[in-house]
Amino acid sequence: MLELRNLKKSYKEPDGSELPILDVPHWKVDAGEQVVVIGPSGCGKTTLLHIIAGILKPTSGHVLIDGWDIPLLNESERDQFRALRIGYVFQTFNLLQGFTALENVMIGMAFAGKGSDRARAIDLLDRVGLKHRLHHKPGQMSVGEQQRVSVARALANKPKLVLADEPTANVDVGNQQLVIDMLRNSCREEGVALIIVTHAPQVSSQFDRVDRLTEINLVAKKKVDEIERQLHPAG
Amino acid sequence: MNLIKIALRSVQHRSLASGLTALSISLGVALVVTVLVINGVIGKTFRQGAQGYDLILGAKGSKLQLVLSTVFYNQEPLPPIPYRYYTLLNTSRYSAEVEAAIPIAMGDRYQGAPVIGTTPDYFKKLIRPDGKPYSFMQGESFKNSDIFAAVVGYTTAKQHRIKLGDKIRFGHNGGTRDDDLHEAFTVVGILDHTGSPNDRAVFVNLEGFYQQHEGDEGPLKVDYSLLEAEKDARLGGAEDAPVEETEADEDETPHERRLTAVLIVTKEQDAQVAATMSQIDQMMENQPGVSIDETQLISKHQRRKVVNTAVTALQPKLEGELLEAQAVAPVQEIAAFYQDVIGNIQYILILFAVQVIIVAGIGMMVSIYNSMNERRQEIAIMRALGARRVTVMSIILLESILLSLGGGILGVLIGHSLVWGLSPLIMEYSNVMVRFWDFQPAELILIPGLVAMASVVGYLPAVIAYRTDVAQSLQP
Repeated sequence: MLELRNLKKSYKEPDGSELPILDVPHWKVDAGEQVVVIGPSGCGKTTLLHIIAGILKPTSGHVLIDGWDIPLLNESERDQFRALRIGYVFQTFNLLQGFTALENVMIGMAFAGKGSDRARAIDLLDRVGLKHRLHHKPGQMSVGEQQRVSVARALANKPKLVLADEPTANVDVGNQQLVIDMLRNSCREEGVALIIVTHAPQVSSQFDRVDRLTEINLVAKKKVDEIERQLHPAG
Repeated sequence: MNLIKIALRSVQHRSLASGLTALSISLGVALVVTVLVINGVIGKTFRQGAQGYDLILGAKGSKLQLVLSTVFYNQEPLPPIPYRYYTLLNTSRYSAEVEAAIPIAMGDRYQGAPVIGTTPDYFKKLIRPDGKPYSFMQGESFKNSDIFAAVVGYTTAKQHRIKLGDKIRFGHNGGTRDDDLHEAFTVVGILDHTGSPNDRAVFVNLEGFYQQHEGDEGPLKVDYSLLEAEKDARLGGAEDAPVEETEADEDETPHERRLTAVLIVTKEQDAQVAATMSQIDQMMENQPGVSIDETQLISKHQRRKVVNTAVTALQPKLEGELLEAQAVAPVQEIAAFYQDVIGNIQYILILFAVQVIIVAGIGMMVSIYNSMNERRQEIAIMRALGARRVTVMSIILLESILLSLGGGILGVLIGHSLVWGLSPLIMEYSNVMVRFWDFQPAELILIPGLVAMASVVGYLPAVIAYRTDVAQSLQP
C-alpha cells in the first residue's frame, strides 16, 4: 500500500551546505496495517509523515501509495491526492477555531471536491462519542474531545492511509487510551492503514508492529551511532 | 460546505474586526448613496420642474430668481407685471405661437406654504412635471365662478390635515395673527402627489386672490372698470396693429391689476415636427437595434428641440413688445443653474465620498493583512486537509468581497435611511420630496465597484495565503 524507496530529504543550511534529515533505503506498510514508528526527538518523524502526505517533497527517491509515486505529482495533484486518500491527525489537533465540530469534519470533504456528506460526518462524530457536540466549536470542547474530532476529520474522505503525529502528546492521561482506541478501531472498521508516530511507550506497546526510525532512517542511525561512540569510545 | 460558507465562517470568527471593517466601508458607501440620491432627486425635480410650460413671462430682473420663484417657490417673487400682458397673450397676435397662457399671482403664504392665485386653466392646460395631466386625490379644480375656492397640494393637505370643505385663511406672513387676514377660502380639491414643488402649494382662484387684496394699497389692487376697458380695447383693436408700449403705458395707474408671472405653453410647429419625425424614421432605419422605449425617448427629445425652436422665436418678440417684462425659458435656466452650481457641488461630494470608500478599502486591506499572521496556521491546516493554494487564495479574496458587499449593503441601507430621515428637512428647504426607495441607477455601479475594490485590496493578503509554508506553519 505504502512503499518508500531510496527516500532522501535534506535542507540547505545558511552557509549553503546540505543538512541531511532522512535517508530511508526501503520501508513498506501494507493495506489496513497498523504501524507505530518510534524514535527520539529530532530524528525526522514529522518530516517523514509530511513527505508521505505530500506536504513536503523529498530531495530524491520514491513514495509509492497505491501505485502513485507522490513526488512525481505536481503540487496541486499532491493536494488533491492528500484530500482524497490520506487522513492526518496532528499532535495539536489543529481544528479550525471558527468552525463547529461538524463543520471541521465536513471541511475536508469540501477540499476533496466530493461534496459534503453531512450524514457521514455525523456518523463519524457519533462513533467517537461526540454526537452531542456536533455544533460546538473547539474552544467549547475539552482537549480529549478536540482530538476525537480530529480523528473523525481524518476519516471523513474514506482515506487509504491515516497518519497520526504524536496523537496523544497533548491529551490528558485519561483520554490518551480513548483516542488510541478510537483511532485503531475506526481505521480497522474502515480498512484504513494507520501509521502512528510517537515516543510514548504505553502507546507503542499496544501495536504488533513497532518500527524504530533510528533503524529505518540511516541519517538518524548514523547520529545514534555517533552518540554511542562518544559515550563508549573504547567499544 | 462550499468556499463561500468557509469564507463566511472565517469572517464570523473575527466578528469584531470584520464588523468594524464592514462599518468603515458602509460609512463611505452611505455617503456616496446619500449624495447620489439627493442629487438625483433634486436633479430630477429641477429638470422636471418646468416641463408643464415652455416660457415664463415676468418682471425684468434676475432670470434665475424669476425661475426659482415661479417654478420652485423658493425665492421672493420679482415685482409684478401688468395684467394686460396676460390678456394680450390670449389675443390673435400671439395665437400662432402661444398654445396657452396661465396667469399666476403670488406673495401670500398659508402656514408657510406658497399661495398661488391662478385660473382653472392651470390644471386643464398645464401638465404635471411627470408628463401626466393634473389629477385630484379628492374633489376637483375650482371654477371661474368659485371666487373663494382653493385647491391644496398633496403635502400641504397631509401636513395640515386639510380636507374638502375646510376653510383656510392666508396672508403675507403665512396666515399668522399679525396678518391682515381677509376672506376664508373653501377647499374644493386636493391634488394627487406630483413629486414637484406644487405638492406644497395652495392654489386659489385668481379673482378671489385679487378681491382679498382690495383693501390693500399694494400693487395688486384692482380697478375693474379699467380692467374691462383695457380688455375691450385689446380684444377689439390689437389683432393686427403692433403693440409697442408707449411712455403712457409705462406710467400706470395705481389701480391696475398686476400679476407675478404668466406661464406660457408654446405651439409646436407642424412643419418642424414633420421634418423631425422624418429624421427619426431615418435614424430608426439606420439603427435597427433601437427599442420602442428609445424611440419614444428620441421622439421626446426631438419634440423638446422643436418646442425650443418655437421658444427661440417667441422670446424676442415678447421682450420687444412688452417692455416691462422678460420671457425666460425655465428649462434652459434650470439646466444652466444645475450645471454650474449643483453639478459641481455633486462632483466634489462624490469625489469626497469615493475617497472615503478608498480609505475604508485600504483599512480593510490592513485589517485582513494583519490577521494573516495569526491565520498562517489556519491556512496551513486547510492545505494539510487538501486545499490547494488557489483554494485558500480564493477563500481570502471571498472574505474581502463578503466584507465589502456586507459593508456596501449596510451602507446603502444607512444612506437611504439617512436620506429618508432628512427628507422633512430637504422638503422644507428645497421643496423636494425624497423617499426611502428613491434609488439611483448609479447605485448599481457600487456593487461591481465594491467587488473590484475588494479583489484589489484582498489580493495582497490572498497572496500571503497562497505562499504559506504548510510544513513550517504546522509546527506546534
